[in-house]
Amino acid sequence: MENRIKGFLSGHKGSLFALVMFLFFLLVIIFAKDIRLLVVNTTVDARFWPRIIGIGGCALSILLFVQSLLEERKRDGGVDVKEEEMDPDDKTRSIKTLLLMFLYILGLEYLGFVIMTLLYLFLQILVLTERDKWNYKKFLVIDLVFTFAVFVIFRYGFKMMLPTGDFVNMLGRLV
Amino acid sequence: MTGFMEAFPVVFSSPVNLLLVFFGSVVGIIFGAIPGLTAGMAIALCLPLTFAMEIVPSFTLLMSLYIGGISGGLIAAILIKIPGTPASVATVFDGGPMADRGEGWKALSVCIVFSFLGTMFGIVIMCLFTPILGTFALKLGVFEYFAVAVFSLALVSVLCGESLVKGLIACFIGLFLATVGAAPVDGFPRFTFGIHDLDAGFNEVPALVGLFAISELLNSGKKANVKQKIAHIERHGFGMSAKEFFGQIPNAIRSGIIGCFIGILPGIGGSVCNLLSYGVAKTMSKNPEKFGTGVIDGLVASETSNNACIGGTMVPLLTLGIPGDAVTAILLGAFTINGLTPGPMFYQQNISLIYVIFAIMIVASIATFVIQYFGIKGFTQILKVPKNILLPMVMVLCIIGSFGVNNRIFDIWTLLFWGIIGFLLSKFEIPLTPIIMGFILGPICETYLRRGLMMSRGDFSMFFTRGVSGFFLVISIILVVVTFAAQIMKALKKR
Repeated sequence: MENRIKGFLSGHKGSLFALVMFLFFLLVIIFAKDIRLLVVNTTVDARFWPRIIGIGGCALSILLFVQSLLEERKRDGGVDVKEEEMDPDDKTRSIKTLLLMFLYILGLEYLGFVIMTLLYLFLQILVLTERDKWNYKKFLVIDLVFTFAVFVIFRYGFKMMLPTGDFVNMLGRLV
Repeated sequence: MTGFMEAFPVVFSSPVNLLLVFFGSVVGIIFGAIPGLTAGMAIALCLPLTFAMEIVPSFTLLMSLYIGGISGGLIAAILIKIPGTPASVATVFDGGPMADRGEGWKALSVCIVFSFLGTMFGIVIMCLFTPILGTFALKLGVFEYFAVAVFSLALVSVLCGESLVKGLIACFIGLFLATVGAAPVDGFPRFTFGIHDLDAGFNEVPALVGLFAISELLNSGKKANVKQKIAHIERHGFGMSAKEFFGQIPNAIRSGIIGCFIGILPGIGGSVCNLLSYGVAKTMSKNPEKFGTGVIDGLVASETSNNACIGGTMVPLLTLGIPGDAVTAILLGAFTINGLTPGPMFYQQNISLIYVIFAIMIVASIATFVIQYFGIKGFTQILKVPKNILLPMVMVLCIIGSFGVNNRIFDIWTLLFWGIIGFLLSKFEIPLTPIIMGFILGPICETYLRRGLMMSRGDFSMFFTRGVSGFFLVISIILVVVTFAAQIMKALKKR
């Protein structure tokens, strides 16, 4: 059953995407109604352009849906066929990378640039490297050198602000 | 001519400018040489560095990055047979076989020399065409600007990717994302859902970097672990004889003209012109069968045209304020940051600055030529850095670049948001360039459309009855209809 659903989803990727896009542009039209107006009783207010985008997007999504449906039928005669799928390892890597980025950005707010970059860079290199090629010492050296070099160059060379982090700021005040 | 000659001392007046030319060219070549990193990415990452700079050093850095980035693509194309940038795809066809035969140095030096000549050719064309188009642009009004922006969007959507409908959907996604934030004319927030950080809309830098760089990082995977096999090179003088050099001049001029013309048209850029020039050179050659086996004719065609394209893309940016591709879209942002708005009035009021930009481009192209020629061995070493190490470092630089725009974490979140959008859409084969063009041109389209409709009291026919705007709108409609019909015919034939 699960395989059938997976097969259906990957075999009808194009038409499902078109449906999602249709719903998205439909929401644009609906939300455009709530835009506040400075000038009323005019056809060219702030809602006008988003409405054009919404209507145009819906029309294009319908076209894409028809096009995808015809292509899918022609390709497999209506039978569910598995399309070329992403490698499971690559999928896991993408999810881990996304999660790491999320935590990195979240952590920047509290722990600041240096601590979070040291953590992120090391873990991200591990995620992207195949397990049999893991070299902790080498990765740690790269991590340390790159993080401190970037910090010094941007903070003191280019005089750019970098996130310091609320927690680090609080510690600084305590010390 | 006097203004042009007076521009050079401005560039040479400060050693900082010369350092920036060197730094920009080196970083640009590195970004161009590494497959997956592009000139646009280099410019977007370095844009925050220019916030505290004056206009001349700022553009010295950005133009050096642009020229270096486009030229750098040839290194990977020849030595590892993977184009460093989409603009160097055709360089692989003959560069790869030459490197296999042990003629790597000859291929590199031919490409370096003709890249330089291509850039110079593009700059000359830019100097000639900018005043003409600048004078013409003064006569354009709101109707014409809307039409030109629509034409640009139509052209990008038609030419990017295999499906017109997907290209147009991408363009509409970009147009929608540009509506987030304060509306033009009345200034009320739209689609912000109570998030005040969104009141000014998405910033261009995190949007662009996220769309291209973050989605590349998310899409990496096993290919991040692949070790590149780099061809060995032995330096022998200039690598080609005087006879070979002069024999290629007609090919170079032809390819330069193609590159410039394609560059002036919005949205096409180097990725198309190198293939087009290669095809034309092959068709016009006495020995077309030799193309693809390692002949310098193919290298000259590809590298001259993609570099000549740089000058071409600057023409609509400087005269109309309309970016031709993703790179010039970021350059438009750089002008805005410096309080300048490119367009017809900009050309009239800042003619000396435009000459300075021409001079910067000439200096940067000379620097790129010298750095590439003498530093080629060093650049080949960078290709050895595996992507599993390189991409996380690029990610950190993306974070710094996005934070530097407004010094707020929110822009880093938008970087991630755009990266996820780019990653998801690439899974459905949706081209990314129309998204960014829609995002950049959306506010221009909306502002001029609303102002035009206010002037005509809601009568849309005015857009068609005025000569220039009517011409561009009709051409846009024909372009979309003809492409759509051609794609339907192709699909029916396949059946």
